[in-house]
Amino acid sequence: MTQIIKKDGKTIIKTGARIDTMNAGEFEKEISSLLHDGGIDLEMDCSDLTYMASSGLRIIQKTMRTVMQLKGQFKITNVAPEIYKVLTMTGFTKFMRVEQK
Amino acid sequence: MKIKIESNNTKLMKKELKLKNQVDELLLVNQFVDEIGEELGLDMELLMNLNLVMEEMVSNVIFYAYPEGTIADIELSAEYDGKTLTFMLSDQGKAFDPTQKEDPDIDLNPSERQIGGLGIYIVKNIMNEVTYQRLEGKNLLTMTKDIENK
Repeated sequence: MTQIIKKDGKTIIKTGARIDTMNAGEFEKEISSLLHDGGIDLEMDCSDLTYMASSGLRIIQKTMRTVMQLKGQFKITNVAPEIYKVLTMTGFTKFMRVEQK
Repeated sequence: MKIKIESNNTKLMKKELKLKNQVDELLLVNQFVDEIGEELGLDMELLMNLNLVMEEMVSNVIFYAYPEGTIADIELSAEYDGKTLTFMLSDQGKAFDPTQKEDPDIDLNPSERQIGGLGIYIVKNIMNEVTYQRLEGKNLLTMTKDIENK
């Protein structure tokens, strides 16, 4: 289950265990509902994430774009090493802050 | 005297899965890959990667191969010969060769790239070989992964 935590002007979206083809639509709705305010400071906390399909990468891509337009910040934290490798393979780690577990 | 015959430690395997072109069938694909992982004793990372690959390719077929509202069969098989794990995916939908899809430019910021198109790129990166054939009205995708013997 996705959790949304707001504190000290920051927004943390904590993912569930999987972002896959079947549940990506739901995750996309939750994350995009957060993306209205200029200067948003968003963290995607992947502590519980063990699997992410390309549908998840697509959502990250769109979120990067929207956050940039809102002149905000977006980082991904607590990423498992196997998922970090996929983010590197697809050229995300070079362009955004991704912190490993 | 009893003679104990030791197996030579080479596990051979062949498995098949029949699916419908519906999204919730991806659960079966996931189970199929997990079973293979267990039988062959694959590590967690490889198992996750193979699940990624099969989910990408099967979901492509589910979403794009057939006109909306058409119910059709998809076949997935896996075979291990002691060295290479070979997956074959076939459907009777419209011809589509995923190996011809242009790779995304990963040196470009993802927010400035076209959205999506990463699935097939991941598949090509994870597997050792991906080949496409159109045979007798079927799309046949063969994907191989060399497995290190432990």
